[in-house]
Amino acid sequence: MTLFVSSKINLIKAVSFSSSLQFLLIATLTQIQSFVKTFEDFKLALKSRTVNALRKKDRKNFISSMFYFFLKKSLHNSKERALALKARGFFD
Amino acid sequence: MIKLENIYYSYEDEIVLDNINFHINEGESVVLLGNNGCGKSTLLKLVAGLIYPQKGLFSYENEKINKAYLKTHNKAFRKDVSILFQTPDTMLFNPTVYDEILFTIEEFAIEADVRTIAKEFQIEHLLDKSPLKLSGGEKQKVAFAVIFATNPKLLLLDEPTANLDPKSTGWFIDFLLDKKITTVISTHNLSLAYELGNRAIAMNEKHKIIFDGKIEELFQNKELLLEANLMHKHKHAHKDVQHSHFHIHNWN
Repeated sequence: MTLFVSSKINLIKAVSFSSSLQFLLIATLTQIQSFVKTFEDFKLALKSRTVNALRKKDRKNFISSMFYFFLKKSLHNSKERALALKARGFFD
Repeated sequence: MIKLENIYYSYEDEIVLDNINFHINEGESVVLLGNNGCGKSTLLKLVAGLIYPQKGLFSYENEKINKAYLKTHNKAFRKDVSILFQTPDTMLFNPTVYDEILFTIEEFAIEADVRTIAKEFQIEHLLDKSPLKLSGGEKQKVAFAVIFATNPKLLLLDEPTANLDPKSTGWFIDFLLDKKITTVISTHNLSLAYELGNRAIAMNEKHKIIFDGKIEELFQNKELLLEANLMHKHKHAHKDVQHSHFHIHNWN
């Protein structure tokens, strides 16, 4: 949904009234783009390892491990970005 | 063994592989070199039959590889051709390392024992652990165990030592050299390329192959190394005298 909206509307231009909001949006979109690429890799890696239809429990394991990976990565990236913003004087 | 003719691949209107041509014979160990984003990982995925070119022909053991072929020969092809992804996390999804290896054994109906495979890859002590909780190096070793479990004929390795410490890298080089499997390795690590490859294929920023030949010949060609972004120029200070010269570094 986010990708669809961002492909139809120039969100960065839409929030050009606030440089902070623009910065936040760029950071978010960059993260989404990188996650889309990793998501593709998850799907291709699964394709390379499977020759039969996935059993229900394997599908469940795959989805939950992918969810855990993205959650962990998001938290890590958020912390890094907050520190970077702090270093650039955005907040104390 | 594999042959690529006039391969073009683009993603969202952006060319990723531009007129790629080469063939690899059985027993060869080929290193793919080039800067970030030049198309090395995409090329490996294409050879693994995970994506298909928009133009050109890719064949494996004289069979044209496309969707239709893989519909009927998927199991045999996937058993023969194993790929290691750059991020091992993308390959591991089972609750424990034991289950991870067992999944491959069951999927490909291989007669093998999980503990024997784990012993070979020095990961016996990790069998009861969740792959999600392992360190980067441990995950990489589990991913190795998974891809080697099928006894592949062709190995495609994307930055195989990126997550390994120097000791594990040494172990991996020895292990791979002993196996004598046809291998295509994408790497930035030039010393690894020198250790493992008997042939180099270099790509430039325009997603084209600019060199295909003996690795020693590539390392002697300064212009090609610069074009493939494998060499750079920077400043040095020797006591009070500062000068700049060209360098080959082992970027990891």
